[in-house]
Amino acid sequence: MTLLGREELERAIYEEEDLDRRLTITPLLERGQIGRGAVDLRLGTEFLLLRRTRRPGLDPGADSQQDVDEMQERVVVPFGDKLWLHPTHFVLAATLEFLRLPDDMGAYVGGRSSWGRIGLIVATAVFVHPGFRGCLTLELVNDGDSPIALSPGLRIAQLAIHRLDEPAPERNNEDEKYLAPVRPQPSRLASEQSDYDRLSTLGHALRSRLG
Amino acid sequence: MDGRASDLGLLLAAARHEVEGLRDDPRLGELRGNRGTALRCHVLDLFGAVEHRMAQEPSSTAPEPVRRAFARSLRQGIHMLRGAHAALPWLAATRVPNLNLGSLYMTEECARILVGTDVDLVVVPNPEYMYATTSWPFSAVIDNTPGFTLSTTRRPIVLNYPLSDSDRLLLHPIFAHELGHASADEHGLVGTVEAELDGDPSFTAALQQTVDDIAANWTAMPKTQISGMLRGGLRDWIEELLCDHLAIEASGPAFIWAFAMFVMPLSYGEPGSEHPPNTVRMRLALDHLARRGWRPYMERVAPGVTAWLDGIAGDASSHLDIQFAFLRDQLLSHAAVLQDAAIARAGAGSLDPAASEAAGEAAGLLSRLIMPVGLGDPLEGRAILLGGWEQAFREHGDSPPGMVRALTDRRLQDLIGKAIEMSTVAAAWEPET
Repeated sequence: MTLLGREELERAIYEEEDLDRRLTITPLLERGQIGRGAVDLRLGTEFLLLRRTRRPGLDPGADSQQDVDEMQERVVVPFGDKLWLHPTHFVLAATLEFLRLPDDMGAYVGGRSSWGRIGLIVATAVFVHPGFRGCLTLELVNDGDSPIALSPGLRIAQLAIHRLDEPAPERNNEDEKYLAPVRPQPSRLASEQSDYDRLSTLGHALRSRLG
Repeated sequence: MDGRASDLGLLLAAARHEVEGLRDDPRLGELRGNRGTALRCHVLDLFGAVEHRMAQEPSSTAPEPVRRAFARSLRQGIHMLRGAHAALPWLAATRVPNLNLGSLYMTEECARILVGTDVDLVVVPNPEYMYATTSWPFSAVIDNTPGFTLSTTRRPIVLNYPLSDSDRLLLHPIFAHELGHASADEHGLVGTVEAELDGDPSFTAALQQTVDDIAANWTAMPKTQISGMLRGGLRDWIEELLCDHLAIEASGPAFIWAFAMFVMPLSYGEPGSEHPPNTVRMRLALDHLARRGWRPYMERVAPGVTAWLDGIAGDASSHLDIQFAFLRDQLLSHAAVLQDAAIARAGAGSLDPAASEAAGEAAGLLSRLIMPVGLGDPLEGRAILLGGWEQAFREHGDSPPGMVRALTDRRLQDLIGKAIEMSTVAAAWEPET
């Protein structure tokens, strides 16, 4: 894998005519977002906050996807407004930009250090697969002592793009859990029920062997 | 007896109680930004108007008619104050918009084109499945309080939509129709069309003939009353049709597709007291689209649906009762007058068929599941929506059931809505210098 520099990024974003081979980052509000080895991404306008509930907690193995979704509240913050993130609080956000990576490119997402230095941790799925399309979901946590104002449009993360030595095989759209999302996506752990069922069966089997 | 001292005491206390209760509600607090500020001023003006009325309390020796008039005036004010409770969730909706932001921006653009720039648009979900518009909701009291001066002249428009449709972008050209009511009101468009009709001897002759026929064969009502009834119906139908034409100017064929999905499951050729039959609306809408050059585009992207709509329009001449037939025949024969009024109002803001190129680009991106903001300059929001319909026909079928399937395609409409939001942001963005 090769990290793309500014010139290669500009060529891939602006000059590639073939849409399947083009690196799509839209809207790219300023060309200056393209740096020497990464593209700055901005904060979008939609957020998922965890609701306070009377439930004992989250158990993806026992809770339905609907239970998980109901614990989250969708909040829209238009341009010009702010969302305050209080110490220890967690929120899911999305990038303002919609990405479409060609099959021969993958990417890593990371926070920008200027945010990290005031306590904002920007985590995400970290690796973005070739062929991904959608707005990236960002997991934001305020790890500092002071509330932090988040304004849509601010540069919040950066995307380092790598060219693969050989193109990844085309992905089957129907299999993708997060296809072309335009807003933060809640966890789909609860939909992975078969893993939990198998773990439960395994647990029973091991317990009876011991007992 | 109404107007006794004890009655007036009750009314004054009740009015004060209503005003104080509403004033204390946090939802009536200062707003950030411009959205909702004119509506808030309008609500505060209502309080001011009622307090102004309260200050006119007559003395205990005032004549009985004066005291009764004062009591009626306060009752009207209290009635409206209770109605003002509905405005609190409207104001809350401006703080936390429920509607898709892309749709909100596009609807504000339509409001600018059809109504004007001096407008405060408040878009509010409605638990009923109903699209509706209200402008100046409390003006009946404010405007009829002599000596009270308004604090705002900016028109508040409250646009209600069904909560379930908040992300059904393909239906949102209906908002342009709703804004048409505010446009017709603000610019006196119904009167303009009526004046054109009255200047046409064929119209006045047909009106007289219809009045005579109804008087001779259908009712013992006086002719002046029959004429008034026909004119009242005409005004209502003109307003509805003007709204359709204004929506076509603002949204192009996207309006007729959304309109068909919304109204055709409800009725076909049945006239209403305020609404012309859908067959007639369809006929006039298709004529307007043809005049504005949209027909080739419609036949290219949705030939099956266009043929379906033509079939509906073909039934516009079916039998109607005499009063409705008069309205229908006059409006069909004066179709150009309605179109002219809408074209003049929308002016340069009309969506031109040249936008079909941008719509094609948007549809191409959507077919690849790419948010269609545009590969070069941002595409215009209304062209993105048109491209959304184009892709809907391609993906779900060029047929009425295909259109219904498209309305359930959440991903397609999410991409359209976010693209309109982002194209609005990108177009307004000022790069760092």
